[in-house]
Amino acid sequence: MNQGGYERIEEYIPIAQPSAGTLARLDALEPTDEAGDPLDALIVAIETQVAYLGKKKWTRNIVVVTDGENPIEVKDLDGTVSELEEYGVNFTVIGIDFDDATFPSKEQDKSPIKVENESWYTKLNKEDRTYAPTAFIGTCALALREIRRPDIKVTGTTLTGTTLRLGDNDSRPDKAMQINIKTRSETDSEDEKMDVDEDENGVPKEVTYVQLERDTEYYVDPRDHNSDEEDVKMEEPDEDEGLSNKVDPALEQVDKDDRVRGFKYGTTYVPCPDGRLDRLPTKHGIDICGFFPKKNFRRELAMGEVQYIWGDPDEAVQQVAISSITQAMYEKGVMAIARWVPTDDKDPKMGVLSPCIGTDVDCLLWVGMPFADDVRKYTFASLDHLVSKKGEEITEHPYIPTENQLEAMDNFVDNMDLMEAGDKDEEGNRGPWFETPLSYNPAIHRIKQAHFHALTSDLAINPLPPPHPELLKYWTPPSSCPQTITGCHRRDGHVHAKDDDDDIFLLDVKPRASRVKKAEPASSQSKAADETEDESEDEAGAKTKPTSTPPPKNDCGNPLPTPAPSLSPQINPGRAPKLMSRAARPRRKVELLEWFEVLRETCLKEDEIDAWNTFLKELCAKCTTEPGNCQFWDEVQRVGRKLSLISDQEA
Amino acid sequence: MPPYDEWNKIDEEEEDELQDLSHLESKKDVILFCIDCSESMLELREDPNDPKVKTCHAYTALDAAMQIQKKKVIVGPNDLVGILLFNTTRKAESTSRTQGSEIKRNCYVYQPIGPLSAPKIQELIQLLDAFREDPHELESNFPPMTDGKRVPMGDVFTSCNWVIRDGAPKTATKRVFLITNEDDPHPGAGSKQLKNSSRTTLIDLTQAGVTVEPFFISTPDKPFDVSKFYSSVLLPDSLVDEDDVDPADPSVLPESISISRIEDLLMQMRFHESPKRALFSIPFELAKDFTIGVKGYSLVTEQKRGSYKYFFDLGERMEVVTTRTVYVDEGRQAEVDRTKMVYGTSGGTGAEGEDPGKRVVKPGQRPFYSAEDIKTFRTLGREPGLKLLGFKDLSELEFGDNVKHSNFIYPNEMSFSGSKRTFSALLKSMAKKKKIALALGVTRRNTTPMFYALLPQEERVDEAGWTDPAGFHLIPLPFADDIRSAAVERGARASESVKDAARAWIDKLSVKNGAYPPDSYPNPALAFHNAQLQAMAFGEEFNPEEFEDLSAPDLDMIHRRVGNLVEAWKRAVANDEAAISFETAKKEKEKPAKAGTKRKADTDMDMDVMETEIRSKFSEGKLNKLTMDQMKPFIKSKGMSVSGKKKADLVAMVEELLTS
Repeated sequence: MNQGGYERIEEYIPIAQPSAGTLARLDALEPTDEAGDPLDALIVAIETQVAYLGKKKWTRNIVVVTDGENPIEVKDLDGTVSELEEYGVNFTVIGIDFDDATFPSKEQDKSPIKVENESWYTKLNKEDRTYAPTAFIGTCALALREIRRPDIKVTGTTLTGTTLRLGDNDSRPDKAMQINIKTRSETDSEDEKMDVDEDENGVPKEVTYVQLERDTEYYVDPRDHNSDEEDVKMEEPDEDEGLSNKVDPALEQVDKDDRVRGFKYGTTYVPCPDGRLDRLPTKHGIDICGFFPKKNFRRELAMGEVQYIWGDPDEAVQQVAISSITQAMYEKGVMAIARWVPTDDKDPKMGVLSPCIGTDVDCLLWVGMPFADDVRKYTFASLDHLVSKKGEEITEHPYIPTENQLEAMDNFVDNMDLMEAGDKDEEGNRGPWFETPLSYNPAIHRIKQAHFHALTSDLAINPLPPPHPELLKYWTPPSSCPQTITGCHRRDGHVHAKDDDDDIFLLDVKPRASRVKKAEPASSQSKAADETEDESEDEAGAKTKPTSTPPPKNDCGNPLPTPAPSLSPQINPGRAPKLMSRAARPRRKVELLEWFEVLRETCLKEDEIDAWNTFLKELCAKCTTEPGNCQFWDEVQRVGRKLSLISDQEA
Repeated sequence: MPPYDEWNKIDEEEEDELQDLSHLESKKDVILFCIDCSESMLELREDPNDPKVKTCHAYTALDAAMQIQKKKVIVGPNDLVGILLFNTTRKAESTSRTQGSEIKRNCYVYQPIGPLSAPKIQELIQLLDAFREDPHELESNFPPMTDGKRVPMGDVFTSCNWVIRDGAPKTATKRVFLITNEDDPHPGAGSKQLKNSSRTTLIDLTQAGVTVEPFFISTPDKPFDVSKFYSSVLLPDSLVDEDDVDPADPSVLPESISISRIEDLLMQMRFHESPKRALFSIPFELAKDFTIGVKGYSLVTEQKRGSYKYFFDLGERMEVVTTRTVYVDEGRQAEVDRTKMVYGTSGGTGAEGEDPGKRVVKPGQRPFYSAEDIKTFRTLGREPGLKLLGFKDLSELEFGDNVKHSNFIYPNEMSFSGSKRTFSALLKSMAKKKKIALALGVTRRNTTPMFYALLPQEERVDEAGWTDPAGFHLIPLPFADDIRSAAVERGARASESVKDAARAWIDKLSVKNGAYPPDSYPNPALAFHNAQLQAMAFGEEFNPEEFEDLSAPDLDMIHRRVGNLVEAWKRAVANDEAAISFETAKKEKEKPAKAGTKRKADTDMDMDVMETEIRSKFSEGKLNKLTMDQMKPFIKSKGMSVSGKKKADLVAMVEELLTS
């Protein structure tokens, strides 16, 4: 229990990559009755780290986890702090049940010694940084919250040296250009991984899972390819392939060593024992081929990951050379066409170089572009130019949007604009919503979460909790961005076009901007319904909802009592959500609809027009927003006039 | 049932099972070239490319077919191709019942539908070469019907139907490339009846799942008027693929391809060479309860060099070896049933006495996930579909936000009616307002949801006659996890005068209205590989000297235009004060740290001076006299790595650099 002369301090788990075993060991940790001194522990930690790392220049972290309930002997603190400084250790204290400064909360009923210790630890983090220069103090709760957040693994892709060329450097070096550059990928696809496959092997008393090994088997099909059999085989669905262990019985397994390498040219076999034909001789480097205006760049042709190109960081002349080209390209508004050979005799790639003016450095960005072979030219029917059998241009057709539809779509696009839907900056201005540096790959982080969870929990009784909200924050449009698209009619899960003479266009768009009340009463039922939805949706966001309402009906499945005329004053928007949840049950739906009809009539008679109209709007909002019940709202609309808003005229 | 329904169904099934594009390659493509061999098609004319020889339309058509075959044999080695000629009096030689032996009179199967091979292509090449030697070769091989007689088009379509029925697998995409210059094959008496039978047989053909893609040759002396015959015969789907068939709407005339210059035939065929296949067909939710259907196509995909395969000698032929991965429990030496596999972190718990490859738990405990769990981790439960999140300015789509190639989406009227006009309205509105859309999407089942930028593309016709279709480019955006920080944050910057010196030569190398021209850059490595492969298959010599790399920069042009300007710019860079002061400042800063260490060779040393010295030592044969620190920057300046090299290596590298 004594390490290096320090009492009750032990190196419990040697420094190593953590594994499932690490967690198991931690789980098995048992405390002693007597306390060790945290400062002693810190000294041992520093020494252990120094012994392990030697002169390696790694990032060093030391984390103290404590509840602060035990005495600290404050001795030789300066020496320890200067050691932390010397090795550049990032020092963190995680206090269990400490006061949380970031999420202001004070813990109650603390022992005097804890209060004392906590204030001592907190001093380490004071602004004057008297003690540890890089100390960070936080509560355990905060640490647990933070650890669940998606965390980006910082990958240091290495810089690769090559040259940027213009012209013929071999025979005419005076008049050609050659700059030493370093490249590094800017974007680099990360894949999610779930390493190992295991086999369940049922044994009564305990279950053993065994890590599996991968093996490859080789087969040939000895059948004649032109026989009819092949046709049959092709039509077999390959559904089970990859899941089942079935092998086509006609296949013959062959030995790995009996295989010969070669290529196929159609059905012709071209032997090639080396497995490779001669490669095109190339010399590594990036050759500039020419420049073209940036505005003509076709963004959709970009093929792969983006690379940075800097002048060699060790040679100022090379940096200036790159900087001058970058600035000149930026000023002129051009990009360069370039050909990149990664290393000698590797396949060349074509791409473009785009200037990038940074705060303190100028660089070029590269992205690959397609070769002629990579572009497919498919023909698509024109969306605008339809020609009749007589050879005449058709201007009105269900495929061609009308003026009204175009206008409605313009409004929709304006409504869903994200340019000022993001978070506020320091000056209170809203920026664009969605930034790539904050959008996490859900698969990577979800699988990571699953890994951690499975290590500490039994999935049978403690299943994986839902993903961190940060992972899903861009999955729905921001609330400031109303999706005011209404009026589409869903039947059988399809959106159907209405008859053309109906004069109401399909997928009717009713944006907020055009919400001018029509003077005449709604001529058709669906128009009335559209207006209803439109307005209520806008109001739904602003209104705070009352919380309780007397139940309009008993809940035992009996028919609803016919509402008395006196019921109408009870109508208030707060009832909508409750009614809605009931409407989810099919047999209640019919009852509710009937009851609504009576209610409307009552309201009309009792001059409670506003109450009904408000109620209906609220109901609509409830139905059409999450979790909602669109189906029910459709039904309400289908009833039509009897459940529509009460217009002034009708009143 | 219309055939496209079946195709759609196949599409759906595959979507369920497969995550990659391999199913597109595994689905065979069948093309039957159906070439008119009438007298006017065989009429000899001057070859515009080579005044010494004669050509004819039929020759150009066959040559184009051969070029397509050469491409197909590399790109789609499993695809099937055949050639049928019509309006010829040649009859099938064989009396036994083979493919094409029993077809209508005056139709002749020159190449039965079958897999491509070197001999098959060589046979066609020999025929074409023979025609170049003797312009009557085609006419004597395939004598045309005379006296203006023509085979009824109905018979041609029926023959195509029979040939494809006998030769093509059922699940393949099947297409007929119809090449003719006769816009009115059946004038005069009985024309109405012949027209009707043509249409009926064409409908039969379509119902058998075959698409007819017409290539009409229209010349000044014989213009092609589609309305004379074909507009009432062709079906609306003859040029567009299965998703655009709307039998209920006969009012729209199908587009057809008229080739005004016979030389463009090959180019037009190239556009149609690969069958248009949708990668995915998914709903696109614009807002709640507001959904349209879209289909996605891959317009840009990296075409990779075919890798070698393993073969097994079956005696009479070589057969490709397929591989299969199995998971084995080493302890029991037995293969494991995949349905029983579970997934989790490798290694055991490390508890005492436990084998690191094993994990023992109590019954009922579950430390691992099922395959189904893993799927939901990947998708977070999202089904295939696109969901609109909102709109942003076009300028928000940054150059650096790219991870892989884009796809193209086009409305699918068959899944939601009204999709086309809604899509069209959205496209127009976004193009007008210069907006991109942001969407969350899962394009294929069991794939991770990604964010996409939707870049609108309006319909536009270019000079070459190619039409950029209307639609959205679906550009995948990188996740935070994919973005790498800049490794270099500070660097010396050029002064105004140096920038101007660079601008001088950039100006001279700029194409005013140019853009990146994909068509000008065939992949040289791929072409080099394929040329070798073809030579080997044909049993010919391959001469690498003859190979021309079209992607290499035109060095002579560059030197002619900017040689002097580059020289001036280089002088400006070398004398740039920023570079000198930055370097000095850096040295000042590094001094204390470097005190006592061996002084490095001055990297600022003028490269020219250094090179002169090294060259003189080289010519004296005294490279050994140079220090490593003198050689290193020189080698580095040539773009080679010096790390870990010994002095002898460096000397050898310098020698090589100076001798090459």
